[in-house]
Amino acid sequence: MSSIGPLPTRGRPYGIRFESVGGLGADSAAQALAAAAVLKMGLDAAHLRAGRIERKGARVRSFVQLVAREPMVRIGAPSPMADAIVVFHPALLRDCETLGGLRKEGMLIYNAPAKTTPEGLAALPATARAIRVDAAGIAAKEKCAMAVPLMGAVCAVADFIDADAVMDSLCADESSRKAFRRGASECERLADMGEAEGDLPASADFCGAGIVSAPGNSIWNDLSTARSGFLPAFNRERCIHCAMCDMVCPDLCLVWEEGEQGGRFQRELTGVDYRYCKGCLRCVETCPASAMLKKAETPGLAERLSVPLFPELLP
Amino acid sequence: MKVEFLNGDEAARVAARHIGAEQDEPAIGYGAALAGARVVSVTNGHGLRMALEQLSVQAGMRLPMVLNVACEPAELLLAMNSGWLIFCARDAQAVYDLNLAAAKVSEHPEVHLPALIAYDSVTRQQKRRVQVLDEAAATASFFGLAPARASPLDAAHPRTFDAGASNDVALSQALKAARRVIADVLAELGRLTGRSYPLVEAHGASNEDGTIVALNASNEMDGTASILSPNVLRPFPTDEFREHLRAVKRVTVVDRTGVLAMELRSALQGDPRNETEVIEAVVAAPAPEAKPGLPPIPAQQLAHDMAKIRQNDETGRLEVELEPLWKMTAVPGRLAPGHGACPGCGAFASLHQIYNVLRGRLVVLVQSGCAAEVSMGGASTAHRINVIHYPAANGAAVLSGLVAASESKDTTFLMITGDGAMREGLASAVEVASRNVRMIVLEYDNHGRMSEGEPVRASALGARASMPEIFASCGVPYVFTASEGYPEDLMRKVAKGQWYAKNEGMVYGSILSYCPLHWRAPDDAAQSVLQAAIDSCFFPLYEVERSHTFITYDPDATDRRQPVAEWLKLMGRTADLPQQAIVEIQAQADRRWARLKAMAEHPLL
Repeated sequence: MSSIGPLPTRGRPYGIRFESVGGLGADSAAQALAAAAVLKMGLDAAHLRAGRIERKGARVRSFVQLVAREPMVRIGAPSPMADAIVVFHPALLRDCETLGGLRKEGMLIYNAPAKTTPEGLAALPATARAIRVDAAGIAAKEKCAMAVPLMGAVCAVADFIDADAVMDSLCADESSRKAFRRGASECERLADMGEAEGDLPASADFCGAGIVSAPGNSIWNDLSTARSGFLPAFNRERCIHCAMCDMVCPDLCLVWEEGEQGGRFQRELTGVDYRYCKGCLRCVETCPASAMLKKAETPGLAERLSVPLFPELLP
Repeated sequence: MKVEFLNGDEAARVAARHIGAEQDEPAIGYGAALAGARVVSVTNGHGLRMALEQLSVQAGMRLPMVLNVACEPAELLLAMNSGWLIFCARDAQAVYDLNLAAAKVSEHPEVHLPALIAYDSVTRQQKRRVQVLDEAAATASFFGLAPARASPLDAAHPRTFDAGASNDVALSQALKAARRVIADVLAELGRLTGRSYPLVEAHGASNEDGTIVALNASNEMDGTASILSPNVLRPFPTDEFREHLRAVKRVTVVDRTGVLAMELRSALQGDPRNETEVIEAVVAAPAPEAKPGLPPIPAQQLAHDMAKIRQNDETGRLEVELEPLWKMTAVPGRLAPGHGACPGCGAFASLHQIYNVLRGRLVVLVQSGCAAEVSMGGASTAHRINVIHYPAANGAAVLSGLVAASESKDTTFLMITGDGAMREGLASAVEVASRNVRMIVLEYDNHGRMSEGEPVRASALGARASMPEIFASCGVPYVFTASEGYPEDLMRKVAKGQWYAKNEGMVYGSILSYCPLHWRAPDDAAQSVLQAAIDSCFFPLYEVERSHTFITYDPDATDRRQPVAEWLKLMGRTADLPQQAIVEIQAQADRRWARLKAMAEHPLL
């Protein structure tokens, strides 16, 4: 066991929340951390993944609680408050729920390329620490899950975690060990990001209501974090408006209009509303005219190309 | 003692292996226990609801077995007075320990009762440090040999096993004896493990004004609140509650049903030294405000004619003329975007196609399953028409009740099912089919199994019951198979289905729907995977119209037939299937396809 400091919390568990979307390895990383704490670090710990069903691209929330074995403290269900929040996708910072419950002396560790400042950091408590690491970049270079370098950064800033134990439990090969160490050495602390005072309020949970008299109000949901790096880009010039794409699109995100008076088409596809597109690319697979093309999603691209389905409500 | 990192379900399974036979399905567990095995089952609230009618049979038979149920307190209360012993486990360690205790109490000669171990959904999933016994030595000395009991496998002693012959007096004596035996066994377990489980556990400093009683209280304890939670709920620990509450003026019972408060009140009522006031409290997060919805779709916009139906006088069959696909983009969506299905989900492509051709007013019932879970929940819904979400077992019966109560001739009643829910609701759906109720049942077949939360085992794919054959045998006027990979074919069949549901009776359609999550295939490989399932005749496209079989796509005739291995290798779930399993799936597919062709050729079939 390497030399590690004491847990900064006494009398209650230290809570770390992982905010991610399915497929980035967040839940496995959280579990590896908690398992290392129990089996290697002499701590007690709990790990819980929130949400009932497993879905690709869905929001993943994973909770780790760490607590010393002596004096004994009962660990219960995770608290809505958090001492540290680890964010896997910069777009998640746009959602105010992501940072909900962060304590004023807490810390945020998030994945984003260098020299970019995602929206939403101002919502942090002024006294909280913000740590950025280009986990996606490192993971792509070292060919491992994004969770690995991000976890390296977590262990580097939290001196009460035995980084070697976590690395052993998370990394199966030398390249991912390298990614873990790079995450630890390349993470950067950003000063003066937050403006909020005190702890952030905990985010509200949803509960059943029986009858919902708001037909189709799912349109307010934003599913764009479900895309994993690619989106279908629409080329109107090539489109023959056959609607094959429309038949297979599970997300109902294609925008159709009446064709121009006297034009060739009575109905025309005008674009994609990327608020709802989850990037499955089934439209690309199905299009007989190559009017839908798979394109790597660079920052701002979806916003530029998006055609709103509900322009009055959600322009 | 060994330290492991386990969640509640895993702890139950480890205990099950230490105790005896592990069996997930409570009914199968009952059979195994009857035969004399030590049985431990692990299920969830859904499984408990399915098992409710058996509980009193198992108790009446005085059969030792242990059932772990991860459920909410309100679900547990359904099982409270079934004659089972009930233990409440607050964390994964308690799940493991109480399994050992329950198994031993359950088979004690004076008790002989089944035991249920309840824990909540947090405990079910939350991984914790759990100390387990080193199997062989410790468990053997704790349990000893399983006592012999009467078994239907014992041919030398013919007996009738019938809970109807059970004796209520004996049952109540057994429950009485259990109070003493449980305390003894928990004490013995405590000596073995160093962990104690009093019948009622007290946390925090006692507080005569602010004591709380809660089941499975798993919240963090900072010692400021005084909380009592029972480790044993059946038999009810009357004496222990009286003891704890004697000096307490006011106690708040946290319980959505009020049952626990009532029991506590009657327990205290019988104690002359006790004047505690019992207050009921319902604890729930405030209901969220629903975001505004979209306006209702005007009726005239749904009175479209995307599929024209004509009866062919020569053949007697229905013919469908479909409008071009692009015209269908003008049909207002009955489903709004913003639902939370996986990227590439075929259930929603299927639903979109179904809604494209169905005209007029619909009443839709969606059985529990992934399509229901991701399209509604909390204060959010993706449905723009009237939709009912209902558990799997009785969906078809409920919808048939709506059909009977409806006075409208123009309403189409549609049940959407899938993700394995059709199997759970089969008895009710077959009953509705036997009455030939005018409704449509459409199953998005993604090979899911919702009760288990995971898909059908890949190696068991070939042996699955064929739903279309089951419904065809009920004699309903129209049964079909289709796939979202062939939208025109699917939409023609759905349009025919609407005609039949309006004019002749019940319709069942099975729709092969892409599931990139469980099939473990790329999101954008739907077309090729679905095509291979169909070309290999694993999922043949056909219809049974007024009891006559018609093949609607024949891969032999178009020279596209290929072995099932070509399909199986496209998916992660089956890429490494052993050769023997592939041979079995191929044999099943061949047999079904040959029978189907023979039926299609025969004038009577």
